[in-house]
Amino acid sequence: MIKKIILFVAIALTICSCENEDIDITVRHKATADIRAILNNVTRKNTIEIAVTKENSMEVNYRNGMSVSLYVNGQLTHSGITSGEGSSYRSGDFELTDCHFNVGDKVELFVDSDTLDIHASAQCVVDQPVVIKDFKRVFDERSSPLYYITINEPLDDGKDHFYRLSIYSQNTYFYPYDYYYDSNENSFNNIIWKRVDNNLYYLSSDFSFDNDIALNDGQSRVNMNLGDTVIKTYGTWMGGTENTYAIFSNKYFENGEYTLRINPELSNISYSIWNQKWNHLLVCVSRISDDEYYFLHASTLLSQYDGGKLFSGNPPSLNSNINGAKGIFAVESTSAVYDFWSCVSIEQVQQIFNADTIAAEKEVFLQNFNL
Amino acid sequence: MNNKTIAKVIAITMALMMSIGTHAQNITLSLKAATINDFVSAIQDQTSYTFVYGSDIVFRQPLNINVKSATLADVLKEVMEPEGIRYERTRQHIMLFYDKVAQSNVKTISGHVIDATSRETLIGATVYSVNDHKGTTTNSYGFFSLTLPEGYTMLHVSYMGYISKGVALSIQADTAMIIELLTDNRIEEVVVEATRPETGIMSSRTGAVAMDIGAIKSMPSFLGEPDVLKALQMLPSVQRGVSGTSIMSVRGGNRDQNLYLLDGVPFYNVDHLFGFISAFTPDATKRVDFFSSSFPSRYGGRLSSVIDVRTKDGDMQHYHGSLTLGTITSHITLEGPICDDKTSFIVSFRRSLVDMLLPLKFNFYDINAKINHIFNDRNRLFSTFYMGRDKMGQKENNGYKVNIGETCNQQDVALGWGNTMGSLRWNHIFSHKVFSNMTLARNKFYFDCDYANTNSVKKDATDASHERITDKMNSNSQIDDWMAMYDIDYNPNHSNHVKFGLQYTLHRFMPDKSSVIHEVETADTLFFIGRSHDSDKRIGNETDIYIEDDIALGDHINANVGFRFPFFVIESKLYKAVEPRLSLTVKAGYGMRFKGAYTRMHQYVHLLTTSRVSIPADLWMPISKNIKPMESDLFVMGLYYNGLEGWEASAEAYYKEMRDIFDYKDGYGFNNSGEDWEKIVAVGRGVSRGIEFSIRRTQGPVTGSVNYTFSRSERKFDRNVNNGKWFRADFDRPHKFNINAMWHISNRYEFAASWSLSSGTMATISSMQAISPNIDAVITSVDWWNMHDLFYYDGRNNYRLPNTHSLDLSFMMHRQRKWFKRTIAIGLMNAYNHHNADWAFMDEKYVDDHWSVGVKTMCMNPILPSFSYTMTF
Repeated sequence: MIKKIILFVAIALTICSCENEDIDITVRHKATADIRAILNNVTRKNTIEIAVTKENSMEVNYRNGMSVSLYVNGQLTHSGITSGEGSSYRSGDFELTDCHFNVGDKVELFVDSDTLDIHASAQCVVDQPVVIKDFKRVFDERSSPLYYITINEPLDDGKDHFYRLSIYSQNTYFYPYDYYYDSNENSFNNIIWKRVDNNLYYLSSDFSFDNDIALNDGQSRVNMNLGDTVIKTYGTWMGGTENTYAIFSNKYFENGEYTLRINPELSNISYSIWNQKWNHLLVCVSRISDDEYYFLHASTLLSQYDGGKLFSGNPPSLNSNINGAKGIFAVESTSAVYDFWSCVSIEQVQQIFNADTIAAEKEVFLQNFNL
Repeated sequence: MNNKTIAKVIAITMALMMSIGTHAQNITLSLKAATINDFVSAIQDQTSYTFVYGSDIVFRQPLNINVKSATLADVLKEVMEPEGIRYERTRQHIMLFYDKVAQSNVKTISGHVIDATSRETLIGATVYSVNDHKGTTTNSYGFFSLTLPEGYTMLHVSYMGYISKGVALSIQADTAMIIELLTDNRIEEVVVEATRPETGIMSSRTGAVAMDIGAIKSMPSFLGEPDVLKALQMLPSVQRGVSGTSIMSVRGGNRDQNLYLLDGVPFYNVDHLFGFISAFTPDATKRVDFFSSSFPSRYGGRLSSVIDVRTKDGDMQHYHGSLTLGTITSHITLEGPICDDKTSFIVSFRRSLVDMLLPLKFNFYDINAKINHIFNDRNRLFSTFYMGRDKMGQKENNGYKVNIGETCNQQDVALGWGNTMGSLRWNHIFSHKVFSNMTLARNKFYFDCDYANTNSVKKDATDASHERITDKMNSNSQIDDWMAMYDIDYNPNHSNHVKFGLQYTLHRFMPDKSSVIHEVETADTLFFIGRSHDSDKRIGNETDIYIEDDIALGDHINANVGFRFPFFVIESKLYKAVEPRLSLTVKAGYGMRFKGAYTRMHQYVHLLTTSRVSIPADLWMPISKNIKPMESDLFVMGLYYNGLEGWEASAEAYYKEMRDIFDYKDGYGFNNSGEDWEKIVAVGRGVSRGIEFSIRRTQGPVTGSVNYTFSRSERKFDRNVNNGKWFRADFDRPHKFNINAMWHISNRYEFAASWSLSSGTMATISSMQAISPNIDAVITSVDWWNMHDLFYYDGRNNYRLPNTHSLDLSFMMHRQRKWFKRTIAIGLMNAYNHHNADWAFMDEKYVDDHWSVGVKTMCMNPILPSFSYTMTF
């Protein structure tokens, strides 16, 4: 009995005194800005996000009223203050419209706040873009597109180079305005399609790349699950968006070339007639700096990091290339190719929109880009 | 009383304790016309010494002496010098002899030194010719060989914890002998010059220590469980891992860079209970040799240290054993003869009791067994078996009874892991100068995980109407090593002791074997679908050739020169290397020694883990055709002193460079699979350096040590780790100080205390939250709720946790009962319950209407009392 009591006392003491109730360590620092300024020479509109932590606080909040200046080759091209809608959503943004960056441009960013004593600066040079040598679309068994994109690295310098792949799309939804269902043939007939008004927008598309060795950085996939669950790829992005881009290096290039293999996940692809769509797509391959590559890579890993537990790995370090603040500043040099794809036949589409209409939509879509 | 005051009080108290036990013996003597026997009797009456001398030792003139309160040294000098008699004083004996007339013929004395009671061979016992000033020590099998001139010789044989023995010999031919020593309750060390032992201050090596198993049992221990590896953590060259665990880093190395050997066979997983209990059972352990540098050439395959644990052979004459009931485990050991003086056995069994006393599904056990057979004077066979197992399980259900139409979910998890090792060793003595050992061994480590998730739906009242869907998963990994070794000890003359041999190991790594079964059972249907995955087996063939010579270059310089040639073949690629091992000792007189050493090591297997405690899923993997073996160069210089009887002091400085070491890339961790591990590790290098000071009291009722270490250990990898910048290693703790004392109060009571203070460990903590990036300049569906999980980590191991200190105490009470000897051990770890931060993690707390984020620390070893009751019979 005595031994039992001793054992219980030992265990109770262990449990009680293992963890301090209060936070033990407070990290001391002055107010710090966190800046996301990844600009692109192919998109005409770019956004810089700025958030700030207060002195000795770890909590970060988007901040309006920060002064932002952008210089290209010493000339001030954009300036203003961050502003948003007042809520945390989109506040702290600084939008740059009508952006044009050329290869060799020296771009400088300055972010200042006298009240918070924050003075941050960064600079970069727009690099030479990669060449998209070939672009092919085939269809896999799911009737979703499968793209083969052959890229060529023009810099034959034996160094490591880094790239980002992203896809922009403009989706047009339409629905069957009138039809009848033939129960004998188990099909819909005489469908009259109608476009969904006010539903024209573009976003960066998700895509998967389970079979691409470069995009998976050499990882092969072994799925031991019986169901449809797919093991998450390492290229997934933070939060709820997944695979809005993928980063890769020239590690797996042969003779300066590599053929990417991706499946754009054009969401809501369905055989139901209620939610059909077509897509204008822009597939972009950007050359990025090693700072940006490692920053994005660490960001991805950080989003998946189950931190600080006894069995956890080491958390990734987000490197900063901004003086006087944290974050990343880069101007990507991008090559892009356009494609049009619909999950229904062109004939069906043309029942309501002819080729001219589609071309007009393409024009509207491409106006967003410097092509 | 604040922490500093406590520290001062403890340090002063323990220093005072250690000063106890120094003594001087004064002689008052009045003899007329005395013979040597009269003189010896008078001295023996007044001192604790026993004289050892041959019949040829006589006084040529009758002795007349009258002294009062003279020192023993003065009396001996006054009496013996005029008679031309030389004398040598040890802790227990005064040996008398004449100087030898130089002889051209030399002969070799060889044999074993054994325990007189159990006939257990003694490893590292000293055999020393007093009048020739030559000596040696017994090897791992208790064998010695000493080449001496013909004629009369006085041998002094000693071993820690045993009564020294003087043996007078007239050497006319090569002689084989067995020397028996009687145990002594006092744990004292006998220092004899010129024996060139392999470990200790007298050794030509740096950083070589032999741990006495009796002392290990007396030291304060975690939950009353004496632990071989935790005792090593007291040494200045060792940094401990999470407090309470036996995980350790030696001179800035990683924890997988330590070579653990059980009777010469490498062990991979040396822990029970996630590292809190080591797999080596003290009851079955005879001796532990620890090398942090100057590695003997026969050892290889790890960069940072060698821990060579030798088990007992078993009593050849009497049956006896012990039974211990402890706080966390109980153990029983039995040993005795199978055939008197020919064959013996020892069996030790240990099991945890937690699952018997508490509703926890966790237990571990281990079995050590050994049979030892002596065929004749030249041949001896040892058979060793070890099996250790940890088991853990958990069962959960949703708490609903399976009523009609309801669903019941049940999940079962069972984990099991452990080592199984068997070995056969054959000792053969070719001649008085040549001893050989052949070893055949197999060691297997396995980890097994079973998981079942069952959903049942009851359709109606009959049991037969159940619908049951079960997903079962099994995952396991294994390492299976087959080994053959042949080692030879050759003593050509007194100046050289040559060891050479050949070792071969077949490594079979099966890192991931899994199967999944989906089973559907209804009243009239049973079907299942299954998939299995078997990762590539990796087979490594490791062959090592080694040779070393311990050379006496005159009376003042000893050198140990060795080479090891490892060859490792994996995936059809051969890695070969040369490992020089050099040590040099210069005796400067007055008990001073200077030592220097250089060692190159390679490592072909490594541990994939992200945990700071030992978990069964930690995966050992070999190198590959793409990943080169790790390599280290270690330079050590030291100054040593043992001129004051019963005291030793040392200062050692080291510099170690490690190349091709690897670690997980930032953000990656172990995924319980050997698949693609090469893609998620980064290769880099490490540097560690430091200086270690130690003062030890080795004799008297209070023994102990005071140690201080200043060290640094850093790592650098490619940009995937810490953006390619140097960073402090996990075990980097610049300052380490400890003071350990064991007080042998009487034959009934022992008290031990240990106080340690060291810098905190390194941790990676965040400086601030990070915003969720929106790099596409278009609207994306960012999960705003997850923003709180994103933090900036400025670099790996960017923060040092607070200093740690703790006081550990133990008190042992022995009492002889009618049938057995009873020992009660009471212990208290971290006696003043200091919250030592073992690791840190981000946490948040709701304060003043908002969530405040910060860092919290955890302590794994708060105040822990312990108790054990042992019966030795």
